[in-house]
Amino acid sequence: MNHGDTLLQVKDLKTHILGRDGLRVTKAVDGVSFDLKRGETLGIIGESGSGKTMTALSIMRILPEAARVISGEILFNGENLLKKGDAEMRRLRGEQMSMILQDPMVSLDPLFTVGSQLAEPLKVHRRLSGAPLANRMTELMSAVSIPSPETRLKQYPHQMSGGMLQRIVGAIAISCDPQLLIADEPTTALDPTVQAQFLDLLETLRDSKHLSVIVVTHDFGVAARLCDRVMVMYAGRVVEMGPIREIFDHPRHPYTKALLASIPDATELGARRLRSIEGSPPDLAMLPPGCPFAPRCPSVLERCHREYPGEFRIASEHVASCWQVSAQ
Amino acid sequence: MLRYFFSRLRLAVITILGVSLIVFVTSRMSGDVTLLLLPQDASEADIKAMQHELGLDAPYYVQYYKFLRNVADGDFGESLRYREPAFSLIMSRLPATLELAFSAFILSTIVGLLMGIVSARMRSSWIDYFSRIFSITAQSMPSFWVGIMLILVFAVELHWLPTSGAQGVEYLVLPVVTLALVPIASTLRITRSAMLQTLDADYVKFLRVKGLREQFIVWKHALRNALVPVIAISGLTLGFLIGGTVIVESVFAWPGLGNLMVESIFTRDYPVIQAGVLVTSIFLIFLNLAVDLLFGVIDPRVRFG
Ligand SMILES: Nc1ncnc2c1ncn2[C@@H]1O[C@H](COP(=O)(O)OP(=O)(O)OP(=O)(O)O)[C@@H](O)[C@H]1O
Ligand SMILES: [Mg+2]
Repeated sequence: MNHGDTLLQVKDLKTHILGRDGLRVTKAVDGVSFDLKRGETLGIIGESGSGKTMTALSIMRILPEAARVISGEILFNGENLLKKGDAEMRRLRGEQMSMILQDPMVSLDPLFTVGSQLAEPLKVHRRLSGAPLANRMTELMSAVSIPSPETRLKQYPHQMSGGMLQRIVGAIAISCDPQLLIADEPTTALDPTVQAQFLDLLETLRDSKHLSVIVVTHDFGVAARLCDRVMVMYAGRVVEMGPIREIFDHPRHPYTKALLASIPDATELGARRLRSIEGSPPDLAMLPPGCPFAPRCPSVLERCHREYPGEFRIASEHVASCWQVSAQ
Repeated sequence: MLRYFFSRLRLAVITILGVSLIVFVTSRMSGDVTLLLLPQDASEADIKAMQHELGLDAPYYVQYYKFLRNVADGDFGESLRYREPAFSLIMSRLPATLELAFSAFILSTIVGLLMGIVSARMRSSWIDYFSRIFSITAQSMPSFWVGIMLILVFAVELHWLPTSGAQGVEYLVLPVVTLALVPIASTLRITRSAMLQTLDADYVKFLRVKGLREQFIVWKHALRNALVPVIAISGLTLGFLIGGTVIVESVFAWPGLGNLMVESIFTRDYPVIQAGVLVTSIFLIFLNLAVDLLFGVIDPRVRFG
């Protein structure tokens, strides 16, 4: 079955988190839509708490207990993941879609060897064992450039550095040649030189394995390096989306502009966290009726406080949700 | 692993020496035995003679040295009451106590683990609420009271089980349940919270990313991680259980070490008290050593650390 160019299509996704009392509802993801083409790399950018991780976890269907997808569609190869049973989902996970979590130091079980944890998906999805399994594991360890793989496979997570662990996590994630790889802030926990190495690796893997990638990041440097397109999120919504160069050169949403302005030096790659923009993100359980960015927006209009702006198309692939954009 | 073993072993030996010193000093602090052994109207000379006979007139360090020498030879002296070697007296009673303590340990570990896992997996269900109420209640009821209540209900009223004594397996049930109640509650609570923490951990999330079955994740990965704190307290639990037998043995007239110790304390039978405390301490120290080693087996961070 071929579904053309599009691998993943997310339509009006809403993921809410229910408070313990059942009254407080946090709208972590509140109507997100986007497409991912085969072989494409999409970046998701936004401040802490904007719903990036929740979006990723919704796609993988591994949300925490309190979080629910309350509406929307997630089409993967044309099939709605939200309609799939647990067993079907399990067969897709690790096999066709995979994910790298934010912190490599805690992504592996400390009580089991790295090798046994790399073997698990290969045994479950590929039914490998014996020599073919061993060969595949060594091959994967080389693919993520880990020297002396045989020794390393017998070691435990605490015996390795963060950079090496992240590469092993990467090896596990791509072990069954998935079509989709989601990397949630793959480099935030690493130190700068190791960050650059891991980005190189991610690029190589993507190109050699024809992966479609979603990179969640705080860092425009990382986005510029890897992504074809970026999606800027604020308070659980997409505020602007477009090709990376467009966003860099002609940002239209005031939030995107503020994010870009907060980067000290946009040309140099390194550890660059978004510096805080004036004000703080809103409480996602008590969103104002209008645009959630309005209270912090430097060019706010009277209308912004009343109505949420729809999506306005700026160029064929460039959209932004802002009344300012519509006015121009 | 070998280095880990030897460092633990050295610690065990030091602990045993420490315990022997404490036992020696405290038993001497509690008063003069000779006064109890001799008739009321004994003369000063009789007392002196008795002290000399028992070696109590030598300086303390000499007495302690002799005590250690004798203990090393397995000689804990003679019971002042029964006139037979204290060590063999202890050894004749120890098995009954260990039977009680180990049965309670096995029961509390199995029941505590199972209830803890189920409770964590079905958080906020009625099973979870029941477990939590049970563990609070169990930990706040004194064991002599629980013992008496169990006797009243299951022996006196229902006639299902014997009230006291030790003539067969059915005699074991009530004392073991009484003894196990508190450790069941503590094992349950530790397992539950460790399990909840583990199931929330990032590595469990990553196991789900790999497409593994939830049962596999729970029973292979999460359980093993949750076992770490449970094993960590198991040495403490065993100590609690062996200490706890003193009360339970009195309530159920169980012919164990606990009853012997209580008797010996009332009659100031020093050699028996000394032997009893020292033997149980050495036993517990070696149990803890075994627990530490088990810890190393299950957790590579300890093994290689
Ligand atoms: N387990 C949870 N329970 C309750 N609320 C949560 C939970 N995880 C996230 N949230 C809330 O959901 C919202 C979105 O969180 P999310 O983790 O998606 O943000 P993020 O964009 O990934 O941020 P960061 O950059 O810090 O990782 C936040 O308001 C957060 O407080
Ligand atoms: Mg996140």
